[in-house]
Amino acid sequence: MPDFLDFIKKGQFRITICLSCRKKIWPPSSFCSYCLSKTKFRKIKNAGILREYVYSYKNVDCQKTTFGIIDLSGIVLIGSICDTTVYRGMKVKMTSCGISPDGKVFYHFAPSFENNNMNK
Amino acid sequence: MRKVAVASYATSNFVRNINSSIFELACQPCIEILKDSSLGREEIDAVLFSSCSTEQYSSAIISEMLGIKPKVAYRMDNLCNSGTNTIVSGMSYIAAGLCDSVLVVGAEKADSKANRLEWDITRGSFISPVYWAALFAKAHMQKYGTTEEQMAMVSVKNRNNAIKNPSALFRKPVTLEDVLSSRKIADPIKLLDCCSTCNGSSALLLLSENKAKKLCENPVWIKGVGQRTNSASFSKTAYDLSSISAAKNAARDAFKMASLKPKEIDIAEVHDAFSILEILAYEDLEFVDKGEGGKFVEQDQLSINPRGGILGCGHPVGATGVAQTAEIVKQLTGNAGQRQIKHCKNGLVHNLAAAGTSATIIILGVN
Ligand SMILES: [Zn+2]
Repeated sequence: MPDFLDFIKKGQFRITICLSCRKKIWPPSSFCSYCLSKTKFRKIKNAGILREYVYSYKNVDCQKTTFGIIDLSGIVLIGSICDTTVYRGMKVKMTSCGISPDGKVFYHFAPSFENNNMNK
Repeated sequence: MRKVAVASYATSNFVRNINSSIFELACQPCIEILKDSSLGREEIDAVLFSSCSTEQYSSAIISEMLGIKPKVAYRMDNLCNSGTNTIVSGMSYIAAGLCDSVLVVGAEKADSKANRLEWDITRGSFISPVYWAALFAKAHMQKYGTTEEQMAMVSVKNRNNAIKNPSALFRKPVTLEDVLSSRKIADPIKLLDCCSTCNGSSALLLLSENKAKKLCENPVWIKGVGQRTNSASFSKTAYDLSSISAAKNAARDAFKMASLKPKEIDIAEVHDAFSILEILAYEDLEFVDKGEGGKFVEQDQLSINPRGGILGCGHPVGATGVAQTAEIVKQLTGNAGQRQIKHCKNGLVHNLAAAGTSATIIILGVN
């Protein structure tokens, strides 16, 4: 079975789905934590909702980075958002993922303008 | 279940730089305990070592260095929660009748990898604990109106408490203005809202009731414990940032076991690696109603984190839970010197790991 990192190295975001109960297993695992059956890597929709966000000042590349909790088709992760005018409940989409030169996995998101009602 | 006493304790100085090995560091408080105790080393049944150090066979090495041949010796690693978990394990051996005396020791070097859970890919590139802490803080501010000033007041209180603790890493006072104007890390968390990793160790001697009554003038009893491990990844706690459910449920178990209510606790050491976590602890321990934690800080809470907490003492991860418990025992036996809180009978230790995915609560009392 391939590894999550094998996919993410190629810029592909994959999670595992249980072959028996169909539940999404995140972080990925070769077996299901609900029914202990085998799982398989699958693509999921890249559309998400920003649940909470924070501005980070630590990143050396830019003065202010936005990051937050993103609910991505039923799984939750922390991703960065390439915009500082964000709000809770905002629709976002994953624009890229991969492994940065310092070895960290990253998930980048952008506002999904076509779906957002900017009047909130 | 047999009663379990904490008979003695010792804590090293928490320092930024050190030359000694993790083993020498771990032995330091044990030597203090063994020299002061009338318990023979041949009577120690177990040596349990709390550390995220990856050194192999460490508990056996420490035992050999201390001239102890215990029946049981192993290391426990549970990130920040390691020390408190190890105490509960030691207690369990005595409560079950398998041991009569257990030496629990926690130690960590400042360069330990314990401050990051690399496995947790759900955090993406935001792997450092400050990021999940900032998300908890932001959510609390949004939902309950908690302010940056109230969080800063936690740091001011704990750093000021640490001045009276000779083993604390930070011994200079900080003002509200210092905290609020310190460098922004992840909004709303600033540099002085964060703890600092360091080198340190702490040890406790746990005894059965029979042994404690023979050897100990003022034993402090472990009255209740509660432990929860909800998950390891942040993704599983991120659905509800309003409280740390592992701590809340562990506290309910501990209070039930101790037959005590939150208002009967006189003194507490709570996990304050980031100032927001102390505010969440007030609520999760039901010292105040949900959402009132921020206002509780504004009252003078001297009896919470009297040693200076993690913010004031520093955070040698594997030693922290042991040092928190040592402080409560010190206070309950009236040995806390210039930081002694008057008339305390019941004390509580609250400790967390990895975004609050696991928690331990220990309630101690003098009778
Ligand atoms: Zn399944």
